[in-house]
Amino acid sequence: MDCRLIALAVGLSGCQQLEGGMVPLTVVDDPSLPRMALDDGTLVHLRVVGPDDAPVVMVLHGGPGADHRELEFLADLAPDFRVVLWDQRGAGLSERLDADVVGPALVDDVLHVADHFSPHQPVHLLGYSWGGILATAAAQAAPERVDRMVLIEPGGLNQEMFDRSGVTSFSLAADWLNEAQWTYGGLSPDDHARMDLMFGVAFVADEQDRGVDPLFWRYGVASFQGAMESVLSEGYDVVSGLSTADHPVRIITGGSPHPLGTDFQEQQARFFGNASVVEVPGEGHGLVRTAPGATLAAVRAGLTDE
Amino acid sequence: MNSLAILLWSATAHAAPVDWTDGPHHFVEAGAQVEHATNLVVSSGWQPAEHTRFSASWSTPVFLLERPVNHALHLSADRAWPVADRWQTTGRVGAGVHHSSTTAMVSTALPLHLSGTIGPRLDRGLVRLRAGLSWTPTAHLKPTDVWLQAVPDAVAGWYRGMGGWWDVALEGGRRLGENWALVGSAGMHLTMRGRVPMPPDDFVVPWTADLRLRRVWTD
Repeated sequence: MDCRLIALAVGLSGCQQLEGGMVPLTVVDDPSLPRMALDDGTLVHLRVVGPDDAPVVMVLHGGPGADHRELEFLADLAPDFRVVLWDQRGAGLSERLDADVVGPALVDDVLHVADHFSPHQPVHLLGYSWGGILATAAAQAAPERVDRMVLIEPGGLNQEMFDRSGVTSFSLAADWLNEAQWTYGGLSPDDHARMDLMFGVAFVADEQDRGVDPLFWRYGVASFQGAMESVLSEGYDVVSGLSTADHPVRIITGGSPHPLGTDFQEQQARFFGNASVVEVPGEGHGLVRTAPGATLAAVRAGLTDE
Repeated sequence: MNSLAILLWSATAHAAPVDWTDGPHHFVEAGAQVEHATNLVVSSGWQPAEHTRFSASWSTPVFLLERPVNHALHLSADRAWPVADRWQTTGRVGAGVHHSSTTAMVSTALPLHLSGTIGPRLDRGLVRLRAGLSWTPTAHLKPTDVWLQAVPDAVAGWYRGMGGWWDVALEGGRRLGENWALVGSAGMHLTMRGRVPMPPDDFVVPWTADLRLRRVWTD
């Protein structure tokens, strides 16, 4: 009996672990990844491109929980700008964390990184989808730290717009849902790596349903949970108070019709004191992947137009 | 090892029916279950003696029927013991293969099962409480080309530590005639670390349900 247990233990020890196998290593385990320590010591995956003296553009990726891989083309804003591309706390190749230490720090992290790279000048905030919500929340928390904002199809900026967007509706017969549910029969989501894998399974199936190839390193479930429990908690409103702010806001859309398209964003633009909406027509919410060149041009215009 | 043998001997000496159907028989069941996904399930069992049963069950998710590569096979053995007048406990050990083919990966998990029940013996039915653990010590995972786009270094192989699920359920059954019965259960499950799945993994259905029609043949 004991011999069999030892044989089982030896056999299992020959198996791999998920990190570094099916899901990637993060900055904690892979020393080759560029990183930065946040004020509480948490490590985030972060890359900076552009001259030290250029205006700083902080790039905030979507999700919540995704990473900046699909936004790497924005590095081409250099050398006119100093571009800070990073994976938010708990997301992408940043350190794996529990949701309860992610949510409350998300907005503070934006301001901390901004202070680090631009201690004396306000920064430009550039957010895509969820990143647009986070950018707006940071501007609400510290408007004096923000110069311009470029928001690429931001999600609902308050609870009413979130509900109106319908982004959480899904079919019980959807492939992505049933693939994930069935896979849970052999795998439970109470470990970071397993959660990442399972969320990835659902996410790539959903992307494929919509005809889009995946472009991310790691979908951090805990980061998603943290955002849902804090910035996006019931009744949230990250845009109140910004109707009197005068910093320019450019909202870029992938056209219409789709839930977060031009019609939706024109309603959101009314929340700001100085906002305009431009289209990259016919691209939908995935414009950063399907039309990076046109999106980059629209972003550049948003950062420089008088 | 000796204590296990004594326990098994003791159990044999104090045998009780596995459920309300006494005596040697075999059966076939078909029905639906919600256990993570919504599944079709077919099972067959053989009860060679009053207190012992062997069974096999096969399941596949209803909404992925066009992709029959998703299926699971579980083999189990049940044993029953009386605990008081008209009350009995049962124990089950089992093992299985859980195969899934998704957009991201092809996985073959090897779960092990352990569960026990307690409940009263009824003349034409049964009600009992079940508690169990399903644990997957290892699984073979193979990334698809789609997953490799996201994680280029992902490699196929055997992975350890796939976790598991506790489950608690109320089981019931009702004889519908000489050879037919309706059996089912309803309960909930939580992860091996005791966590009830929460958003965003709320597409993990936290409860379980099972309803099957059984045909019995007396040996």
